[in-house]
Amino acid sequence: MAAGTLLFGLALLILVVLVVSWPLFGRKRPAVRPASRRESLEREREAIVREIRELDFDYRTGKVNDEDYRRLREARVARGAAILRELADLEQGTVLDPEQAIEEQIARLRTVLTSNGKSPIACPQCGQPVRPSDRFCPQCGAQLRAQQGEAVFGAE
Amino acid sequence: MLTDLGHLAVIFAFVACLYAALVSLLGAQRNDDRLVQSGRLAAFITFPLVLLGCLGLWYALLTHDFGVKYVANVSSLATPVFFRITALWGAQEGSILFWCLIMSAFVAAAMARDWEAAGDKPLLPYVTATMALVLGFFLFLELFLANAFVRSEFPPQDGRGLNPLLRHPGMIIHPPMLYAGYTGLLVPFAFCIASLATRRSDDLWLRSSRRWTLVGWAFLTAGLLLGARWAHDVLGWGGYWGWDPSENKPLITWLIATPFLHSAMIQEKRGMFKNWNVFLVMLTFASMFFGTAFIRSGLLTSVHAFAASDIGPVFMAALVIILLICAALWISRLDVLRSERQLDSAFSREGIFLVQNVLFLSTAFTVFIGTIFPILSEAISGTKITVGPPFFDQTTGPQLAALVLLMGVAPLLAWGKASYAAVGRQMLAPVGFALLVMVALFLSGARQPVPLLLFGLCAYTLAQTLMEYVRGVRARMLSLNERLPVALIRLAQKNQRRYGGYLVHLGVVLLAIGVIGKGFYGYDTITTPAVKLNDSFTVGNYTFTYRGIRPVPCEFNDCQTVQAMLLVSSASDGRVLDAIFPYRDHYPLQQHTATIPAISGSFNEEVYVILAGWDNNGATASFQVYINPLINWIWVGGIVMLLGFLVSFWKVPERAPAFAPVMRPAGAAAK
Repeated sequence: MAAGTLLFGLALLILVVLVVSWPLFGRKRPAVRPASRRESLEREREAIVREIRELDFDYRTGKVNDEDYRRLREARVARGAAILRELADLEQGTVLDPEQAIEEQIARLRTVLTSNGKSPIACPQCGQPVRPSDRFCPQCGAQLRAQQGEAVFGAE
Repeated sequence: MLTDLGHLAVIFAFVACLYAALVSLLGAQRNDDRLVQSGRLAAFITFPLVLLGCLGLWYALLTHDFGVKYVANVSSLATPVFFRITALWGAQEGSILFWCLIMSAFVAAAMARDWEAAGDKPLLPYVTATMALVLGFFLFLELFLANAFVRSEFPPQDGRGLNPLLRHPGMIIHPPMLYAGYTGLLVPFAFCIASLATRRSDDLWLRSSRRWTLVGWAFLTAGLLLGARWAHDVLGWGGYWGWDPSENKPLITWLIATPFLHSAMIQEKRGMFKNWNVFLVMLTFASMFFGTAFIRSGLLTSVHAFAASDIGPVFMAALVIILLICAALWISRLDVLRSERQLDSAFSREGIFLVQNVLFLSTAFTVFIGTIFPILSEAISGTKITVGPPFFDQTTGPQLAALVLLMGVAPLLAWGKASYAAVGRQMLAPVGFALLVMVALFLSGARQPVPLLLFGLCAYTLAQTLMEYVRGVRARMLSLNERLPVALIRLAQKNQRRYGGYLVHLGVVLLAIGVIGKGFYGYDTITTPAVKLNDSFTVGNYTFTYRGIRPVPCEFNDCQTVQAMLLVSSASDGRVLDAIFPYRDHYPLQQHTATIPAISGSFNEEVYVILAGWDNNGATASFQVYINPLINWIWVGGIVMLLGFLVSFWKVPERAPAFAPVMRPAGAAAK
């Protein structure tokens, strides 16, 4: 091996050692925080909301019959509600109506993802599908446009 | 000097791998981020180091440094620059180095991601350690068993030149694609190990590595297709697939990686099949490792097997160790991998996915048994028995057909529980379409029952997959008042994975049509006795007139080319359709002859002609003519599959809604 190669090789070695040992000169930090229950609950909440949306879509494309749809959906919403209750307990708060809170999140997700926030496709109060032309929810009577529409759907 | 420096860089990369693995594990054990970050940097830096190694070897190839044994082995003074660059992966030693380069690129890309933001930082040290150890193993092979940098004491005046088989564009892109496919699939494996090591029960590893798995899968698919195209263009087999061990090996990995892509969705969506996913990802990795060991050890003869070497036993020993570690890790974590949910009903998408998974694996196993049969038979009876294409066709054919059927049924089933009535209703139109197609084919003269049925199956699945788009678009148009194009784009945007996946399914159906066409309606004839000058012969709808042979200048200056000329005319009305020039390249130095086909015909019916031989300076010549109906559908299907991958993969920025706070403080709730 020529002297030049050795010299450049040595330089390369020093460079590699410098780069790799760089973090060792910093202050000691823990690599991992203990995983919090809250994080995993939040992940589960997101998963269940996704799952319900998927079920809704299957229902709308005619893949699930009415009875199964109702049964499966109820079970899933109940699970979501249980997660929300546990989350609320962790925060030492209470959640008034967890089932409805889950529906709200589904509706919000759907609104933002599907119609660019211009007009809701489901009532933010009760999750009932609505037509873009509806001003009030046919199910619960919640106002869909105007001041509330601005706040809920215009923000995104 | 640059070459020797490259050699040093590869040695440093090897040491960096060992360091990265050690320090990462230590960092995880002591919960010290400094060590973890140092390990991450060490793993990252392997990429520039291995790249330096490749640059060194490229430099030697480009400057004709025949003192380096590898350079003398794969190039010569006559090798053009382009092929001197691709000669880097033209033989064992260099190709392992190139493999290391691609693998280190994946490692570096994984290390460079923002782990904190992705929320999977706890996995980092174990991902680093796993990837570094696997990369380290390949660098070990390169340095100690197949070193491309070794110099000879007496450099030859000229090298041997690149293996003639490898002088084809398909062969130049095909190996990098396959390597990228294999090494891409290393990422989910590493994440799986990390998930097990940290005792996690969630699907974080799947979600974090999902896009990497897709990339690996797409590269593998592209590699397989390019390999098939290369065999079609260069090997003179008459077809696209010969069930050669070196083709079967990536196919087996593909047949395991594909069900993994599907079953990963079940865990993500339903929290089930956790053990199954661990099993599949480990099997994918093992198949990659095992296959590489077999091809590279020279145990199996193949179109481009590597010379027998002592790499095989080392590979096998490493595989056994890896599998033992995996199994131990897995068994010790069985308690955390319990399903979160029960199967609601067997008649559901989860249920049918399981059937599909089992079918894929049994197909993979069939190909595996057929591939290693020569070794098995030698071990048992003492004679090497090779099973030919008929075995593979007959055993895998029905299983692949069943998979095509499942593609047409599974999307109809809802998650959780599907209803028979709904599935039946959705099947009506596509079944009707399939029947129409079958009747039309029957009336146009297709009378064999099996291909007729298979084409019907393809028509059904094709229609059903298209219907999925129709149904989704219709649901959006009705409930959202969107116009058709908007609804289509939003539909795909909203669920890229699903609708990209369906596009892949469409590609597979098109490919299947090509396979069925070639398999059932393709035939070949060899002209006996040899054809005299200016005589004609007829195959199918074509009449060929032999117009002589002539030597022509070869693309490369170490070969001699002899070209024949044939006029192709229609057998029915005598109209001249084409003039074709099949030829043979003879490489005296490598004692190799390549038979390059001439291709004519139409999109739906390819005519593939090989110059089989000649006598008396071309007074007579013989030809082999293949009629390959529908073979072009295979390439079109392949392109559609890759488009589907792009749709699934391409990240369309989605304005994800922040979850609104749903909780009120206790005080407020009391109001």
